[in-house]
Amino acid sequence: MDQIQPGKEKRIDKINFFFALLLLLTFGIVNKSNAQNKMWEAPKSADNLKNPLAGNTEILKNAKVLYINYCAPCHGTKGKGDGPAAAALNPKPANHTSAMVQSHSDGALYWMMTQGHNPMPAYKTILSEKQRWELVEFIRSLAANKPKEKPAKDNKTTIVKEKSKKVNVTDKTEPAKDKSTALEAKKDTTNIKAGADSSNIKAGTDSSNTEANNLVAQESSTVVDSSLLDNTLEEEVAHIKPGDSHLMVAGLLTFGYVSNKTTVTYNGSSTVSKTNNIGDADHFEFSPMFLWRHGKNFLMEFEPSFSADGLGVNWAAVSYYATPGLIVRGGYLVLPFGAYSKRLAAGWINKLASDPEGVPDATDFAVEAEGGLQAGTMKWSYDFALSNGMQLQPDGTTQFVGISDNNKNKTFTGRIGWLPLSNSSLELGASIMTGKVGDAGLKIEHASANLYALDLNLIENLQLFQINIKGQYSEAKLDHADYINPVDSSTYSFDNHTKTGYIMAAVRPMFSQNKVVKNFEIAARYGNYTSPANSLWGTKDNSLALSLNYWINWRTVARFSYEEIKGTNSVGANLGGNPGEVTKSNSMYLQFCIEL
Amino acid sequence: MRIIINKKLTLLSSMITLACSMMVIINSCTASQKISTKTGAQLWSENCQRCHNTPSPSSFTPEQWETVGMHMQSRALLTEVEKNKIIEFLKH
Repeated sequence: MDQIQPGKEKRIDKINFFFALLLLLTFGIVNKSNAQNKMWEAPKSADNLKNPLAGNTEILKNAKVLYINYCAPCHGTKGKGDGPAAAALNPKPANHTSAMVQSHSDGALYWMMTQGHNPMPAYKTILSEKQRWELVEFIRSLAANKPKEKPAKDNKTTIVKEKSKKVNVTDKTEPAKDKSTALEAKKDTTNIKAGADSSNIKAGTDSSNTEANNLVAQESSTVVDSSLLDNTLEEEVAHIKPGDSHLMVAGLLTFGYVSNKTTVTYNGSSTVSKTNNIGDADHFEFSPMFLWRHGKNFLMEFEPSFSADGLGVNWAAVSYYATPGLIVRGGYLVLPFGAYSKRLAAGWINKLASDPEGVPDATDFAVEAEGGLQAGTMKWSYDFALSNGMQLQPDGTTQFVGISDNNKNKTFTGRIGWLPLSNSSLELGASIMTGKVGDAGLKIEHASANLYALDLNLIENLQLFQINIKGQYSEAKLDHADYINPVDSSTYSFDNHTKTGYIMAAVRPMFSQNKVVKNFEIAARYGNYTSPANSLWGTKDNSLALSLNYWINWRTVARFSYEEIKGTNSVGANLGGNPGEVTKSNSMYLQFCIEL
Repeated sequence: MRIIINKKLTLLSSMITLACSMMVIINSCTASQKISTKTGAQLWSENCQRCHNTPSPSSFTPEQWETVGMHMQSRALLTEVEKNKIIEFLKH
């Protein structure tokens, strides 16, 4: 038994903590410097585009529908840059109510939505010219500070009539972020006002020769729109269409550092053990995912993986997209039991560094039929699989992964998903898995396993936060049978019931206009795992995990997680167990996870 | 045994209560809209975040999005209409 040295221990924990925090902050700072890109500015000439709908309030109702359909997903229904998709995008969607956006001229706003700006798509072909101008008007109506920002309606009409005056007004309201730009803009305005002659004179003295000349060319030609926004490159590549066959590689890499302290307490005495690992096999995973599409109906997927288990295969499948609501699959599949294994277990999707304890992860050779269906404003999904089946080991444990067929019986797995809300923010799922699982020829051959699971997923975009709640509860019941103790080959029996549940909540700040703050996420998870009492692996575990995540981009995360698992031993005393022994495991993870 | 059943029921009923109360809250502020009337941008912003962060359209090429779309239709069990609209949006 080790002697606990409280002082030393605390110091190590502190060093670990600061080391982790330092690294996380480094990510933040590096990312901030990347995020501080140049401001997106339309060319000066865009200011010349005439808004045919200026001051027209009748179109606002129609424009609002357009805005909700096309802009609100990122910019938010109120234009504050806080739409449901805003959280992970970089650069962050603009706040349309802000003085910065409102300081752009109508023409510049029109040019921006026409051209797009990564990640914002170009709306040149998606929306008609009239629709884009309607949106310009709608953005104007969102101004936070209307009386100051926007002149009265009559005034605005005057501005449109006198183009030069309008440009002048716009330039004046533009914040002087860059003095030289502002100065240049003013000079340009003078050119427009004074006409082509003075512009030429300026061109001689100014270093920005070409810009001035361009301006002259545009000023003299009356048709600005099409010539300005012409994108010949887009037209040149328009004939290139996706081929019949396409192979691509995506995939996952997780790399981490973990520090663990385990305290085992039995009959009043404690034993402490500690580990400290940098990216060892347990905390490293490299899983390239190959997606190979054949035409529109066939997809082959293969994910090999290098991890603690060596080089293995996560899953390999061929899918046939038979009809709009039916996909038929075959191969080595992650079975649709619960939502976690098939959808949420990947390192960059899971919000914490560790998996919830005890969630059945079944991967087997199987055939599967699945699909998503719409019913009014609701959605349903079904996912049914027939596999070779789970395998009940002679000692009573159940094997779910990498199994060879041990009997003539097959296992059926099915999940029904229900999305009752039209914005897909809530999903409730119910799953079952059932089959006869014993080895052929053994006494337990006809023992059957029945599992069920309920899962919940809710994502809510509130004004201040984006909240995500996920949970899953499952139970596994195996028929009562006589098992063999591998230690002495004696026969023993127990109630072979296992219960597992977890509930996770993650929060992202949406209230902040700060890019770095917006990239943070806090997650917490409570887990419960109860394996059969009086079995060789009997335990009752409670776990609590907390994580601070920093999203470098939508699929790359650096996380700092802490987890405490407290387990109470329930191995039968007749099996050599220490019932009542308490194991407390505290782990700290610093994990980097990237989906490529 | 009774204690176990009670615990299970508590967890189950609290999950259902939470779900129902959230449904009421959300329904009171969101107008229900059929998929057929929604744009690709809306469906993209609603569905991807069910599991992961909303991807930037620039993450993949149009041809790659076609392939990723099929993969995600199977994973998330999107309807065919949703998948088509989302991919159309992401290709731009």
